[in-house]
Amino acid sequence: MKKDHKDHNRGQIQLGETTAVVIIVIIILIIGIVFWNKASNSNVKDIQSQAQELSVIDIANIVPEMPELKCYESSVSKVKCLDWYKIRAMGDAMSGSGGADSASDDKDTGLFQFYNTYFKDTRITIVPLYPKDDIIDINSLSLTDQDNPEMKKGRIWNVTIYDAKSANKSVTNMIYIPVNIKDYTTKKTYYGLVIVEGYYNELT
Amino acid sequence: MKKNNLSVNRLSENRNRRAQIETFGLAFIVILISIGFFIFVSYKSQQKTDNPQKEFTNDKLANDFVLSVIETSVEDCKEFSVKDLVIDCARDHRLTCGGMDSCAAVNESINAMLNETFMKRNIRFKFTSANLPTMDGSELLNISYLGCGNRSSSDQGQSGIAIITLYPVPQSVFLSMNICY
Repeated sequence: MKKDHKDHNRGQIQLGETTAVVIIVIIILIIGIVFWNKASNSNVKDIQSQAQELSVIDIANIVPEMPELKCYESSVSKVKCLDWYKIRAMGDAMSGSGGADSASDDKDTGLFQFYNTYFKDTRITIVPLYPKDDIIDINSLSLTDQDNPEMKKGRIWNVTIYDAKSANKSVTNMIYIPVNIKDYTTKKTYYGLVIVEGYYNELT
Repeated sequence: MKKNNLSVNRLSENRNRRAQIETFGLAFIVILISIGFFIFVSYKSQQKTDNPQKEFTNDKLANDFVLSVIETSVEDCKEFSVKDLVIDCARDHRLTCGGMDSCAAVNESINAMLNETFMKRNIRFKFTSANLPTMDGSELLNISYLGCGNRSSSDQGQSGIAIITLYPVPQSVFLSMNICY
């Protein structure tokens, strides 16, 4: 009778051990699942931001190679050289074509839509940096001066050639590429940057 | 007989306690290993993987910069490019630009472009020339920004090199740009 009681006690202790081990294993499993979930979430965000960066890099590589912007001498294209008058022409044409937010107004959006297949949700700006004495801030000029060709003669300024700005997206990536900007009327070659900024939804 | 029974019981109780201690020891080790694993996983997940933007900047920016710089017109004498002045500085010393000789003009123009592109964005770089000696025999260009290119640092990205031939002199000038991570 006494032996039976002891055996029962031992059995109870062993059951307690097993329960404790099972509880510990379950706790470890739960912590593991939580960790795994967090790790995979951050991985998805990394992949998403990498894809955005790669898309901006792709576009940054396209811009200096576009015949619409490249310098040609004796029908031969020059490496990393953009023609100033082509930049201006494209800037003027694109500023008249609206943007991502202007689909509803009466401007011709055909040009914007054509370049949207290449440039997607980005803003592309050509920024001349050197020599400094010919570079002007076009926004600081009055509207009459801006329309006066004499004021702009032999001068160079920042030109945004494409802008797909939309209200619900913000700039998250920026890539810049050094280029030469050639003014064939004055024969001067400027040093500048092609700045490509990607508009994306903020990653949450 | 009774005494024998008692000693058997005590022995079995001892064995049972030892088994209990072993089980908890094992559980303790398992917990320790699990915690170690979680710490390792969280450390690994915090580490940034590839950064395409940074890689692109380090690999392409240096090369594009030197190629663009040499074709640029120089301030105060826009009929000449940096390349023309580099050739003159290495070979003839005939040209002057705004009261400066060609070597000083090269130095000033390249410094201005480096400042606009890299220093304003706090990008570490090292820009050097080879075969472009000054009067005292040292190299004209040896610009290091934020400690890039120190012998101790192994953080340099790819180099961009522009080769300017000094024809008919059988020599070339090398302009080298290195961006540090």
